[in-house]
Amino acid sequence: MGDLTVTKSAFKKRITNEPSILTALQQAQEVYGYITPDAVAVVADVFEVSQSRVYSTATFYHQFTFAPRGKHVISVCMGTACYVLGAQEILNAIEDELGIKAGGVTTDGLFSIEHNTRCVGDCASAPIVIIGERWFNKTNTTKMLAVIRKIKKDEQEGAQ
Amino acid sequence: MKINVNGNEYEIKGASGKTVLEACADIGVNIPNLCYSKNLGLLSSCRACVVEIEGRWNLVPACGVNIADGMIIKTNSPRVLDARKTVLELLLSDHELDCLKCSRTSDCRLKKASEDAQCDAKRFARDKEFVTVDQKNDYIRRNPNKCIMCGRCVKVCAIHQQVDVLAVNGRGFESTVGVAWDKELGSVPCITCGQCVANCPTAALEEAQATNRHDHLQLLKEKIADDKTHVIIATAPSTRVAIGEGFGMKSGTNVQGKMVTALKKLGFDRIFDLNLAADFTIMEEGVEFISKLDNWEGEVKTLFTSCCPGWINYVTMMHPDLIPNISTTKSPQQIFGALAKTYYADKIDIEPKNIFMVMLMPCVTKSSEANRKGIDANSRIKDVDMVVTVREMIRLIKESGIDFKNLDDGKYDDPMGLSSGAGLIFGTTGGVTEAALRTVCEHIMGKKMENIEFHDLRGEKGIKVANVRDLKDKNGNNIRAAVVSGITNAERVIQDIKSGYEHYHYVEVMACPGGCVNGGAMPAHDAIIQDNFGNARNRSKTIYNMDQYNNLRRSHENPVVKQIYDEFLGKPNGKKAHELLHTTHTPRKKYN
Repeated sequence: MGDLTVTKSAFKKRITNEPSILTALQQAQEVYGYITPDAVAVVADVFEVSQSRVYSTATFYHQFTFAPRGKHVISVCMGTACYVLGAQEILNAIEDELGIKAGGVTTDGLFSIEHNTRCVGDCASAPIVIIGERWFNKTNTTKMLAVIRKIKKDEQEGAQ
Repeated sequence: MKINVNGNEYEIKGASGKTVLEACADIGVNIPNLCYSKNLGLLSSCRACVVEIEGRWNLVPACGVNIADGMIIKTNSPRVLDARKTVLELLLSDHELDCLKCSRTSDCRLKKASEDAQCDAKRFARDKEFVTVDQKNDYIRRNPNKCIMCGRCVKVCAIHQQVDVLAVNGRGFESTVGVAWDKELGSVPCITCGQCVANCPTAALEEAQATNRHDHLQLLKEKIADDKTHVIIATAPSTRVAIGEGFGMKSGTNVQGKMVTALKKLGFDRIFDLNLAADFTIMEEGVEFISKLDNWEGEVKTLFTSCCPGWINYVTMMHPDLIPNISTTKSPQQIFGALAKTYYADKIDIEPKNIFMVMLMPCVTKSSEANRKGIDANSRIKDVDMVVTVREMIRLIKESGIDFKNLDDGKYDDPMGLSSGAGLIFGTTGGVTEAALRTVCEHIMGKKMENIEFHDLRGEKGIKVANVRDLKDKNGNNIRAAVVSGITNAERVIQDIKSGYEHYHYVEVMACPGGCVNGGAMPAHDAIIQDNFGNARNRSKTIYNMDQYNNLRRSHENPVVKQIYDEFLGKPNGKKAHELLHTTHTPRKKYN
């Protein structure tokens, strides 16, 4: 989850030496958790292009999101190998479990499911689900639902 | 170079670098094309121009391949015709097919190509929810449902105008042309020059009135029908050499007389010539130029013209530090409005509020100028009530069943119908400067000039410079005047001036490349290849010819100008002239 308290000037300093708009946008995604209007304005400023150009670039790539994501971001790989090994069923089960569709965020802000995750490049271990930084290889519906319920439980206990 | 097209040999002259599309157009072989425009370079996005070339296994877009000696091209083989039809049917599959009420119905390139190819518009049709974009405050209306994603608007915005506010958002089938965050154009630094409208092959981009009232032309018809309202119209310089194109006439045909008759038939009470107000602009700007010439306080010692609203939008947003250097003289449109609601109202003894002032304009953003805060001489009365574009007027004339081509020549009405050739050449790039120099040199400085034609300032080059030997500044240097059209060129000149690399005493800027003759709301031309510059060239040629054969070629010699100064305004730049004919400029925010 991003940190929205990072100021525009701090973000500007951070991306001043970025070689391209794309890497600067990746920084924005990392810092704020999603592409904010302010981030677009700063990137446009640093690279001396219009905000429309920066926004257009960002919307081309699926890796960028334009609304806050959940604390735990779930990506279900939809590459060919994962797909034929049942990725769609895993995704459907996760959607049902969380009550949201891919691209959405749960109301408590804990989970979000990425829209359209393309091949993540580890087809030998298909199907793959990524939650945050954790990779789950050769997984299945039962395993994934158990992982998600565990995270939910941990979060609830942490909150108390 | 010899090529073979559809079984016939042709010798192509000046062939180096010519594309198959251009070479075929030269020999009268029509290949439909939607995205190609001579002025924008290669896009190759629509694929409607695919042809067969012997030795290549695939079909190739004619716009993207240069001809070579001995090339054998087929533009009408069954394979080509079938592919072309499919391409067009795919473009039609998600197109909003309300052709009958569409503003571009008579000059839509997609419609024309699909008709010729006898397309089945419903072949690939699918249920699609049409997108609506909230843009009630915009002067340019975007309709994504009619967009074929050719990319011309994006390119002209980025290259010729470099404001770069239009871009492709999203990816694949869901992508649309829009601005940052898919908001209104007013939220980004759009200068509403309208070049995107001029380059749109369909009605995906149109001029709009920035009001909730959808149909302002309906309001105009009601005003004309209302006996109590005195509806007057003034026609911009460049409209008379372009409006005929809407009725199938060649680009650049002078139809001034027919246009006046058509407007009379539409029911306007008086038809006036905006060139007269251009003469006033010259008088005011000329005196302003001389009075400021040696008295600049800031670093920049240049006077920029103020008649182009697109340019004013640009400079007040991007270079607010240059505001003291922009002429305070109003544009001809606003000068005319101010005089109509004061001098003319007095003269014919009608309450200003009962006068409905309409402007006929080649421009998308003149309506934004009419609505600009603080532009009206009297805050309670709007000087210009409505701006009607050339495209809109063509539709009105057709709707009224007027046979434009066969009309007799009419004459402008008194007392505001007489104008000079200097006022007329305002319609093309360089015209304002040339007209100003005629008056400044002769009238204000009292030097007789033998040659009043400044050929350095003519033509379609983006930046033109004249050294005026008859006129010197206090250091004894010749006056240097620059004429710029297209915002990319304007930015270059501004950078040159700011860096001290160049010094100009006077800079004329027109936002549209080529000036008003290439305005955003000029008729879309029915041509094999879209060539906005070519049309602009024909139109400006006619304008210079008309000036040459005009007995009255200097603004200060116009008897009506003299009369209105004597009877009403007093002196140029005097107190009353300042109240009515000058304005102030304020900085604008880039992003809202």
